[in-house]
Amino acid sequence: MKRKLISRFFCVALGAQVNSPEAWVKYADKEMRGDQSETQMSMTITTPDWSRTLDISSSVKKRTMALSTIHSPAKEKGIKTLRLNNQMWNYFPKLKRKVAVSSSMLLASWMGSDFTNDDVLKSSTLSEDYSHRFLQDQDALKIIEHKIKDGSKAMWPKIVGHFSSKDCLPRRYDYFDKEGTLKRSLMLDDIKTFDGHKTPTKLVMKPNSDEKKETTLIYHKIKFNVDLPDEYFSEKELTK
Amino acid sequence: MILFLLLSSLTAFALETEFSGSGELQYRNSRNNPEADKYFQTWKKTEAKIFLGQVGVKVQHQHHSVESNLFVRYLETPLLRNPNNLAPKFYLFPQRMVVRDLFNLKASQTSSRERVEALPTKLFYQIELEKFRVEIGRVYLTYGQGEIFNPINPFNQPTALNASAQVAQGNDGGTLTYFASQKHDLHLSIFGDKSQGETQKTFWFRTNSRLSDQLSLMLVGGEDQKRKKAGAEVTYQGEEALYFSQIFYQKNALDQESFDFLLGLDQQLHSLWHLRVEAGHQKRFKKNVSSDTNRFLPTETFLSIGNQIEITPLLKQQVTFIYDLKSSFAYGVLKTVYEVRQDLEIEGFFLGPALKGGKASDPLQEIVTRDFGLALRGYF
Repeated sequence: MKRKLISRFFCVALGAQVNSPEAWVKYADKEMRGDQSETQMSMTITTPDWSRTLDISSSVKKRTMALSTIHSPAKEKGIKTLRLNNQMWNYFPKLKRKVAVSSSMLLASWMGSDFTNDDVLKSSTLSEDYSHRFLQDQDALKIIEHKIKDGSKAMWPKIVGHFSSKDCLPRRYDYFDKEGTLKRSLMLDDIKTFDGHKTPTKLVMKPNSDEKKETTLIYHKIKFNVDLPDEYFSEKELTK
Repeated sequence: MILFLLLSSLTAFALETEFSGSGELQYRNSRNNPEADKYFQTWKKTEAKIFLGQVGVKVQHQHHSVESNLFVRYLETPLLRNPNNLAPKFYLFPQRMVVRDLFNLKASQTSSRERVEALPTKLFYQIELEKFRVEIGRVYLTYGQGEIFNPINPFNQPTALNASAQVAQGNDGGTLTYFASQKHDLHLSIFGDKSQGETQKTFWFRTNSRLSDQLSLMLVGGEDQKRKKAGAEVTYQGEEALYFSQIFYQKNALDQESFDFLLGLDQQLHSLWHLRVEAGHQKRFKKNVSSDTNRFLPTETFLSIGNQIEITPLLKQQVTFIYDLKSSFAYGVLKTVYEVRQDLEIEGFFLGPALKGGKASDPLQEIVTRDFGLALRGYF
């Protein structure tokens, strides 16, 4: 009863003194993103009639550098995307062709899924691009509203996060457009620990417009203890 | 013990091998432009069946690799009966799959109804060092932002107006790349071409520089088949869109000089709608209508608008419209691609003139056919 009462007001992982929405969000960002990471994941797009699975690996350094590679299916195999600050390039290995793409592509859906390029390349972060306030407490959840800061390039004006008081990590995000309409919801589950970082490894994105469709992202392996030199995020690695 | 040593040595020299490829079956129904009569293109309508196949292999051991791509193309059409018919050249664009060809590794056969060719478009050895990369053999040289018109790259033609997907042209020789830093790299290429008998040489350089978080500059130049050429491409990452421009100068063996230009914009307007605008100018020297054209569509000063819309994750619509400002000739491309299952797609397409050109039109604009077709593509 005492533990339940305590968890209503602050998260044990954050420490008893800290109970600001900023601290919750910063903690979750730090746990789930780290400064640098290498990730192997699979993404399955499911509708009642068909499903499609992509295998992807991705390396991210801070919020400015990212390199992702598609390993399957065959049509997209080897396609890489490099992001350096605002600039982005795609590389098509079959043609050995590198093309610069507009950073507005971050808004585009990732290979027909309900995730965007921004979700995969992680160019925006909740802790830096949004301001936060508690909405309400439920027994085991803290609900935090994230509103986009002026000048931020993040794509969602408002996100509402449901954080577990047990481990201070999010279990659900609801994404709203400019009109305040709910557009999609992300459910986060199956918390695992990699290199000392606790992170959800099963993410299910459901668009509000189509209840029968969903995209499931499974993280198979995440390395946080990596030292990726800046030169790794370069033309050489992109066109390798 | 022997088995252990054998297994150890095999592991030490383990080769990573990757196979990939694609196959495409295409059916076309073509109608001729009535005005093509005056250029001896007297047929009215016809059918064509095309098969394109590619098999790629990459074998890698540590920093060494060998990469190849075998390309097979088959065309069946009654138009082959008359060698003056130009439509098969559009069907088989790009006609020359190796543009700087020293070794002629092509096997081909043509009859009055069928044409088949098989050749490696890519076959090279590569060594990757810390700051350098060397490629020797038949290589692709694919760079430049232009999808309709890409003047700074004489070694690969854009295929956005054609119905075939994922095709690139080879070049015989080699390329040395120096990766100076995250911001700068330099590429030096030497190619040879013996397709006209005498060996013609190409010495080519290309530099890429990221000048800031928004701005990149590419410089190219050299001597290519007895022509002096130089060019530049600037890309600017704006708030909402990517902007790019190219300028390309060349002076041919007859001392004729020309400047080509390209301006473009690439923008994701909406999560499902991609827009690309290109406007350009290419100086065209008068040539015989039956002579080969390097570009798919002859336009001197043009504006093109391309839209790609994702109707559903399985269904994509591409609509491209290109307009010749001088002749008012316009050409449209409509492609609808449906993913039947993972790695198998079917495409319905229409390619053809949308507006008739005026007096100033290039003769080649009057022989462009109107094609409807279906393509089935598989990848492995």
